[in-house]
Amino acid sequence: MYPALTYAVAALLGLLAILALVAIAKPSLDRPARLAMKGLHGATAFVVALDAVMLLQGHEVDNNVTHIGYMVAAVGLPVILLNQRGEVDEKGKPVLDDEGNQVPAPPPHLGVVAVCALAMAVLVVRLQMTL
Amino acid sequence: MTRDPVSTDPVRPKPPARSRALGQLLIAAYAVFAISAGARSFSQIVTDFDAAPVAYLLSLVAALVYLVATVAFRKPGRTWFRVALAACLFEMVGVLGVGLWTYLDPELFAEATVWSHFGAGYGYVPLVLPFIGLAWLRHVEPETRPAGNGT
Repeated sequence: MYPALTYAVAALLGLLAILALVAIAKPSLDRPARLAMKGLHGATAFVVALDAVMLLQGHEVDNNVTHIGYMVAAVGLPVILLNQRGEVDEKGKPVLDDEGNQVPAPPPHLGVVAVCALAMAVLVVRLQMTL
Repeated sequence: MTRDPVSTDPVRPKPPARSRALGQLLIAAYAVFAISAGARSFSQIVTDFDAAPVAYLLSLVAALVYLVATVAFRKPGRTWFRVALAACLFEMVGVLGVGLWTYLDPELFAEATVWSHFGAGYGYVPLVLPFIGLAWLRHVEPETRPAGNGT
């Protein structure tokens, strides 16, 4: 793979975690932080894709299961943590608007974005270390 | 066509606890640990189970506890509150017990688990997490009481 690219993505994810925490106090940074999360999710997917190409070309890693686990987790974690579900009430039933459509849940808290970015940074570094 | 089974009022004065900041953070942290502990135990059990079966099975138990807690924190109602409480208590006993055990008898755990040395390998987050979870559950407990019993 390309260590410089991988570590650059990991460093940017670390910076994003800080940005997301700052954005909790400064609402004007809310949108840039969320956009950066989407961009870095794409960058992480790109790194993982490069890694997958290397594996398909016959590169041997010490432990395939562990390495592929890091690949899946790095791309899948933000999907699990940051996707928006519809609102449900306290009985678990969907909340509907006047037209009968389910009310979308508010975007995840910026603290969740920070946790996700930090976890992704760790996963990307581990991905490089196990290559 | 009836809309009986759903609520039609999108305007609520206060979101449920799981949607507030600390609830979201807690669920996210538990989800991260469910994934990391689950992936770790899966990898260990599939590739090298005989090397340290006790440690690997313990990793699997830890992963299941984190998964159950993640789901229970997300779900509304009294039953899920009790499930979350049980998961947090189990996790607290697990991390304290295994943490202590790994210092008293390191030979038993040939390989590290999530709870080894009080979660030192994960920045002691596994040690702190159940206490935060229990504090949060205590905070939200009134919301989970059945209607008419909320004193």
